This record gives sequence, structure tokens and C-alpha cells, in this order.
Amino acid sequence: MDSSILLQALLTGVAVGCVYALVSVGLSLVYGIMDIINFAHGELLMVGMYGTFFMWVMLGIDPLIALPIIALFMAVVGVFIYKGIIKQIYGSSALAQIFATFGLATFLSSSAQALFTPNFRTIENPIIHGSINIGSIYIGKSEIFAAVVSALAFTLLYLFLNYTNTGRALQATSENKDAATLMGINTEKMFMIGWGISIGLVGIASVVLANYFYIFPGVGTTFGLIAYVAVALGGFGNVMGAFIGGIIIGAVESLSGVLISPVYKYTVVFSVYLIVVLVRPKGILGRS
Amino acid sequence: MVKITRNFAIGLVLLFTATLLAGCGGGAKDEGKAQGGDKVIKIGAIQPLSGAVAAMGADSKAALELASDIINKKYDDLDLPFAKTEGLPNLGGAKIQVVIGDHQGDPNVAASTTERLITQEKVVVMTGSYHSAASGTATEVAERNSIPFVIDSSSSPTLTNRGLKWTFRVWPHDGMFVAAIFDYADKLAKEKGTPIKTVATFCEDTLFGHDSAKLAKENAQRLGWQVAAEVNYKANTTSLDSEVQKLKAANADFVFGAGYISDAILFVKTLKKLNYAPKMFIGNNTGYSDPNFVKSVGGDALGFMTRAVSNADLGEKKPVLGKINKLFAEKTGGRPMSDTAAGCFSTLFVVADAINRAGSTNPESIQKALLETDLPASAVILPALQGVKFDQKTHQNEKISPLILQIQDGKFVTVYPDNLATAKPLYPIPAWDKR
Repeated sequence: MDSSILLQALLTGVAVGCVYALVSVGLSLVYGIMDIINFAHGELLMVGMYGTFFMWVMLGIDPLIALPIIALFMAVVGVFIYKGIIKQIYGSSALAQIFATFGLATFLSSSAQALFTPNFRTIENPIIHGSINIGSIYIGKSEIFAAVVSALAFTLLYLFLNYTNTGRALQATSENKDAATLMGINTEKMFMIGWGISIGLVGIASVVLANYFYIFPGVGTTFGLIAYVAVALGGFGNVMGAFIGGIIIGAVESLSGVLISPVYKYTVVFSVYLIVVLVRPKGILGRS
Repeated sequence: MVKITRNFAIGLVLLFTATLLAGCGGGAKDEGKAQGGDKVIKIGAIQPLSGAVAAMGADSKAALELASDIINKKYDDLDLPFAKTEGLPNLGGAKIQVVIGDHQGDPNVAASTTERLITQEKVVVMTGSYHSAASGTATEVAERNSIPFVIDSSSSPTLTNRGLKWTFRVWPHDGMFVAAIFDYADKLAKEKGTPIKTVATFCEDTLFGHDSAKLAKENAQRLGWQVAAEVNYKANTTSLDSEVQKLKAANADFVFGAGYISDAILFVKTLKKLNYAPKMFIGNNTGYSDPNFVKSVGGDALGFMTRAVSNADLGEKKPVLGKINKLFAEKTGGRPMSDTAAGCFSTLFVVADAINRAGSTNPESIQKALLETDLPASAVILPALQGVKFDQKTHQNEKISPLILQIQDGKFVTVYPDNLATAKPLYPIPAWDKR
């Protein structure tokens, strides 16, 4: 097997993995703070993608410029979801929590189909398009953009979580809510911030994805599913773990596609997941 | 505790009684309708109204509604059976009502929806369903319930090879389609002096893709070509990079594809990104014939060919098709009628014809009438159908000659057969840097 083919597969895999990672980080963050799995995470990605598309088609704003706008918009959406839905069911039975976000997911994808029709949308000729050619390796500029933005977003998040007071308060809430409250941390505010950041990250991911992927009401499902696996792989509640999990999945998916066969891509991905979880049940960086 | 349980039990009994009464009432109403002159004949249809191909489902729904409208009302200027009359003449002008269910592209939902349409809506015939996997389970449900199921748009050959007595298919099957594709590829390449030696397949992994890949290999063997790469991929995947890399490495003379719309779009984008343009590409309809495909990546998909049963540009060669295309565009706000939608349209006429000849809504009579169907080409709007006559054993419509379409200038043109062609084929497909 030609080494350039492997290198190509690895690079594209990591690039796609960065998108998975960005989507997964938000999911892990919310779980860490509130012990709630947001089943509408994939659908919120879809909402962000549609937002990006409509900004482009109705206002002529390129995704590159729309990025901060959509990120902020989605962060606000996240806060609204927390206040409107999550807050009401927080503390009630696990079933209620599951159904709340699951119901939100169904509501979002059905509304999208009703409002925007099931037709496929693509953003044509965005500022960032085309591919870079180095020897026999081709990498899409959109993918490089996605990887760079994801890495940047994650670095900022990491710095925020570890080097700012609010960030550390978030981590404290994540570790032990009661102790955090006793220490004077406003957990209500932490939950709001957590959701805002989580969905804001999804917003960033949706913009970089909309740049090159097709958009339709069901697009969230595919990426959402991988996000859950990435979070589980990296360890529920650990943000760094989710990021690494996403990249690993992207790389494994791509490499197994060329090394074994494209049809076994997900077999290998899930096998890796099973092995990791058997050897280390809490995930790569998970806490108990 | 006892009081709660007792009240609960009483409530439950009342609920059951109410449901039974409602059911009886509904049943009586249907009986009444079955007698009088204002009779409505229910025909069931399952289509993918949600999920990745929902747009296709929406078109099929519109086509079914248009067809039932033409059958039920008077359209004097249309040269189709039942257009000039209202309703079915042999049943006293009874109107047909198409009851559509959403199978979501899921075989399990297809089965349960069919069950519901047959047992609760009391449809006398079923039609459907685009996804071969969905048709597979739904036809089995119809068989169990002894209701005819006429397939309007699923092409997997297995569907008519299971010995089912109640399944019929108007639409051609992939055996016919893939053979036609390979024969055309062979002909085109030889005409340009570069006969094909290698072929690569690029098929998704549900029933449709599997059968297509199998047929591709059989036809390649028949023509003496080597299969340079057999790439099977999971439908609705997030990335096709590895798959395209394999195709690029194989660099076959001819690439055969079978997949749904989302993957088709991603495929073209990935081809452009990885700088690979196959010399000849013919897709097995579905994604590669989807109007959305042309809309999303039409410019980049220059030269992509597909087999089809109809095409919007054949309005001149087949006037009734042109008229129906216009009516369809009016109904849907300007959408073109894909051949899948046209297939649903024509199938409803076949069903209406059978019920009319049977002169009753008894499923056995309809089944017998279907077996005796012998409609001329003028009764169906699809140019690739020379009429409708079902093989007595497999119940497959035998009067088929598929079309080959190609994307040129961002739209589908007909390149084969010669008597219906509206443009010359573009071969080979130019490389990305030569466009």
C-alpha cells in the first residue's frame, strides 16, 4: 500500500475527526455538569447548518463571516433550551430527562422538514473552497478550515476551563454540585453557561460543516450518533477526552476505509470503542 | 389502594367499550359507502415521506394525487385511460382514493404501515415504495393479507423472484436496467474506438446496492471485463474519502454506481476534492437521477449518466408526457417530474385499469384482472415502457426498454435509445482541470 494513500487517509481522517470532536465536546460538557445526555445534540447541529445556509442564501453572508454570528446565536439557543426545557426536568426521573431532549430532537427535525422541505441544500462557492495539492495528497481547504477552527475553539475552551475563575467554577460544579454550591458557586448560572458553551460549540461545528457538507433535516442524526460514541470513548464528562475521542474515530474510520475496506469502516470504529470500553470502562480519560 | 385499582379498572373497561363502539361505527360507515353510488375505492400507497429521500417521496405523493385527480375527474384534452370519464366506468363512476403512508425508508415501518393500511384503512390494492428494502417487507405483508401489491418504483430483482402470488411490478427491475447500462457502456466505448476492459463498482449497502453490485459483476463477466475495484459503502455516511481513493487508484474505464441522493452528492464533491474524474460513469438511477442531484452538483456532475424510465425533455417525442409534466409543475410549484414520480403516476392507472376490468373491489378479482393486463404504450406516460403486460409467473412487466440520460449543462438529456435521444453523449468525461 502506497504510503501517500495512507497519509492522505490519515490527514482527511483527522480533519473529519476534528469536526466530530467539536460536536462531541459540547455533549460531554453538558453531561459533566448536569449528568444529562442531550439527545438533541445532532439536531442542534442541523439547526446551526440551516442557520448558516439561510445567512448565505438570504443575506449573502459567507460562512467564514457568519461563523461568530452563528456561534453566538446557537449559544443563546443553548441558554434558552436550558431555561425552557432542561431546568424544568432537572432532578426528575431519568426517563423524563431522556424524553425531554429526545422530544426536542424529534421536534427540531420534523419542524425543519415542515419549514424548509426535505430538499438538499448546499452552499456554493464559499470563500473557503477547493483543495490543496501537495504531491499526490489532496486535502480540501474546507476540511483544513474545519480542523483549524476546531483546534482553536477547543484550545480556547480548555484555557477558559482551566485558567479562568468561571471556568474553574464550571469544573467544580462538574465534579461535585453540592460541594460547589457550598463553596458559593451559583450552580444555576453554571448550568446556563455550560449549555451556552455546549451549543455554541455545536454552532461553530455547524458552520464549518455547512461549508462543504450537504444540509437536510436528517443531517444531524449521522453526526450526532458519532458524537455519542466519541464521548463514551473519551470518557463521559471529560472534555479533552471527547475531543480526543472524536479525532480517534475520524482517523480510524478513514484508515480502516483504505486499509481494510470502506464497508467495514464503522465495524472497526465500534470494535475500537468496544475494546477501549472493555479495557477501561470509564473511557480513555473518564472519571469514575 | 383498592379504591384506586377499582376506579382504574372501571376506567379501562369504559375506554375499551368506547373504542369498540367507535370501531363498529366506523365499520358500519364504510359498509354503507360500499353500497351506494358515491362509492370510494381506497388504494394504499407507501412512500418515503420523511428521511433522506423525503423530497422524492413528496414528488411521488404529488404524482399519485395528480393521477387520482385525472382518473376521478374529466380531463378532455388528455389522451390517457380514464381521463375523459369521471371515476371508474365499470363500477358506476366510483372514485379512487389514494391513502398514503410514510415508510421513512425503513423496512420495518414499511411493513407496519402496510399492515395498518390494509387492516384499518381497508385498501383493496397496495402500491409503493421506492426503497427496495421497504417494498420487500411490505409485499410480504400484502401477501399474508391476500391484497395485491403493485410495485411502482423499486428495482431490486429479488422482489419478483420470491414466488409471491400477490406482488406485481410495473417498473423495470435492475436485471433489465443493469444489463441495459452495461450494453450501452460497451456500445458507446466501442463507437469512440476505446473498448472497455476494466469496470469499478460503487454501491451502497442495502438491498438495492447489494443487488446492483451483484448484477454489475455478472454483466462484467458476460462482457469479459475485469472488475478493477468493488467499493461498497454505508449509505448516508459522513465521508466518502476512502471510497473515492480506492476508485481513483483503480482508475477503471467505466464506473458503475448505485446509491441514494445524499451519497451521490457527497460522491461528486469528494471526486472534485480528490481530483478524480472517471472516464465514464453510469449510475443505477435513484440518487443519480434525483432532480436534487442536478440542482446541488449538476455543474460538477458533467457527463454523469444514469438509466431512467422517463425524462422531462421527452415532452416533444411523447406529447402526453409533456402535458403531464406541465400539470405536475403547476401542482408542485415548478418542480420537474422525476421518473420515479412518473412511475407512481402510471402505476395508479394500471391499478385503476385492473379494478375497472375486474368490475369489483374483491381482491381476488383484481388479482386476476392484473394478471390479464395488456396495456399499450399510449396508456402509460413512461417512454421506457412499451406497455404493461405481466409475466404470468413472476408478475414482472415485460414490456421494458430503459433510457440512458446524461447530465449536460446542468440538466438531464436523453442520449439513448437513438429514436428518443435529444443530445449526443459526452465521452470521456473531461478531467477537472480541463473544464
